[in-house]
Amino acid sequence: MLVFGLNEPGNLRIMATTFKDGDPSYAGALGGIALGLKSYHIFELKDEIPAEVWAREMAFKELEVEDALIEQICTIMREIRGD
Amino acid sequence: MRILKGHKVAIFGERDDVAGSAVRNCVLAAGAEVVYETTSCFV
Amino acid sequence: MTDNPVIRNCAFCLVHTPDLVRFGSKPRRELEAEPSLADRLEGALRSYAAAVAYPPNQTFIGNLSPLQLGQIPKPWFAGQSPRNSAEASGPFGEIINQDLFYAALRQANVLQPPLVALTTEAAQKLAKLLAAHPVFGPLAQSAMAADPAGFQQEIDAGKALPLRTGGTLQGLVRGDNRSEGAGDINLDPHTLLEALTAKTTGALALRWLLHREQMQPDQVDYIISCGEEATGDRYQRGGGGVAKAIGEMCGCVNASGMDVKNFCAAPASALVTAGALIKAGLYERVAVVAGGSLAKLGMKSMAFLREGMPILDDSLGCIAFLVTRNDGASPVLRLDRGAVGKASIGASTSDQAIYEQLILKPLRALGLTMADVDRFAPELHNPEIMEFSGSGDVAHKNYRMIAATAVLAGEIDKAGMRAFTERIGMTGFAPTQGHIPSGVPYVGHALAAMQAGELSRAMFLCKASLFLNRLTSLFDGVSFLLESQKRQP
Repeated sequence: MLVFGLNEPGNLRIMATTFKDGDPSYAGALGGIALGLKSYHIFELKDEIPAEVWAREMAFKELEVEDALIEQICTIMREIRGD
Repeated sequence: MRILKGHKVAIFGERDDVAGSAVRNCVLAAGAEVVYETTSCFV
Repeated sequence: MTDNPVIRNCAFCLVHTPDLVRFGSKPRRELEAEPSLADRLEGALRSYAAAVAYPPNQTFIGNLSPLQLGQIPKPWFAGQSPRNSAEASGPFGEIINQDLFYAALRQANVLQPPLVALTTEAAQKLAKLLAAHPVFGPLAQSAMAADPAGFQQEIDAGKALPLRTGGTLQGLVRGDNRSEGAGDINLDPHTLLEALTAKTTGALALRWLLHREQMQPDQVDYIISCGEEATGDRYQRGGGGVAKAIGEMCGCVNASGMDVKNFCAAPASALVTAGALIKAGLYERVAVVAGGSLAKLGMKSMAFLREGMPILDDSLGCIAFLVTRNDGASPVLRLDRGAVGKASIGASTSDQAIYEQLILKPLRALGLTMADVDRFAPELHNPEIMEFSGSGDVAHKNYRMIAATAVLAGEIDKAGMRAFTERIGMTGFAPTQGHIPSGVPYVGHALAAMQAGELSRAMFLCKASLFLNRLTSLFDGVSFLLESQKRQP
């Protein structure tokens, strides 16, 4: 699986789609190649990470990135995975 | 359900978003195996 | 604090080089893969007048303040300039056209046969242009001879790159044709064009600094170059020597110099080093200078083509600063013990740890809090370039990190982050030229605002992606405080 730390919705959509269905522009190395890989953003995986590790590595990021953007990122990732 | 534990993970981070190293430390602590890691710098 | 040095003066110039965009790293790779892209790329290049009128460029040379820029609705590239007639000159420097750059590039050559050669017609025209320029005239030290014809064969053989203006060939840049240089990629036409561009643009900025200060070149004691270009041959790739090459071109006969490398944070590292040399009493007047990055021209051009926009990353940035002993008036560079923020190796790659070290630790060392800082200047990339290319507003992201640091320090609460960033922040306005946007473009505006008694303290935060060298996963950060000597009303 892929785990992203990118926060730009447009980039995330293209990359997650590419790893699942192949490059949507048919331009890159994965043009027409569907690997079927699932993509997650690290913000979605908080429940899986030990609390002390999350506090050290991610709490600052959670504070820094706007709540609305985190929600948008998580929605995009769920949509592309088809959850 | 455990998403990360026992899975092979490729990481794409970005310096001004979440760096690959921060993602790596998280997923390793959750029992995943990191097979690829990169941090972009868009500037 | 009285023995701390001051940043006495500065210069900020842009060099509009649309015909060099194709030599930027990204366009060059794309053109190799798809030669038919050339027409589209060329069709999307901006005129010099459009580059001059572009509000972020007007901000870079000081005709607009960053806060005024923030009031102008985007898209900036499509709008009218807020000034009735946008001027190529500003208080901090100027937006230089390509012809003038080619003329200066020819003067940057010190070899025979020359690395940079011009056609007969171009040599005549460009020599006059350079000699007549009020700031750059002194760069026209040697006669600008026309060079023998036969350029096209050299270009076709891959031994030189063309210098064009639209469809007209003005000259070329050669690789090192000595037997010692044969096959050395560090001395091929492309790498030498990058190096000569860094030297030339650095000299243009240093000339503007000398002009602003009304200072003779022989009064400079030492020069620190902080550009990102690696210059040297196969045995010392990245060896350096850019500072002295720039000083030589500007006639700084009494100066020596060195290059400071630290990716995008190099200007901050160089200013701190310059200040330390002054504070130690070694030198009286140190110039810090950085030329522009040819490799980064057109870095986001593919996104602009996709969006049907003009190529906005078509200009080189160049900057220069004069650091001296405290003159009792200029803004002070705080070099007290602990006042310079550093990202220690042990801070690992944790943003939180690094921001604490860059912001809170130095402020505490000086008995200050974040509330004592009027403005923070992080990476000030033009958001219009970054957002259209899918990279996001880098300045905004950095301000969010600064605000998060204030929350963790207990100075504000989470709900107050937006208001905090509005108080301490500004809109990015610098071209995507690596080391050029990293905090220091605000130095000119800060000096002016401190002179006017409108600003008492600014903190500069510069980051460096060390991990790009593939030797480490660390990144670096350097911060410093600039303080007005004027009493606040």
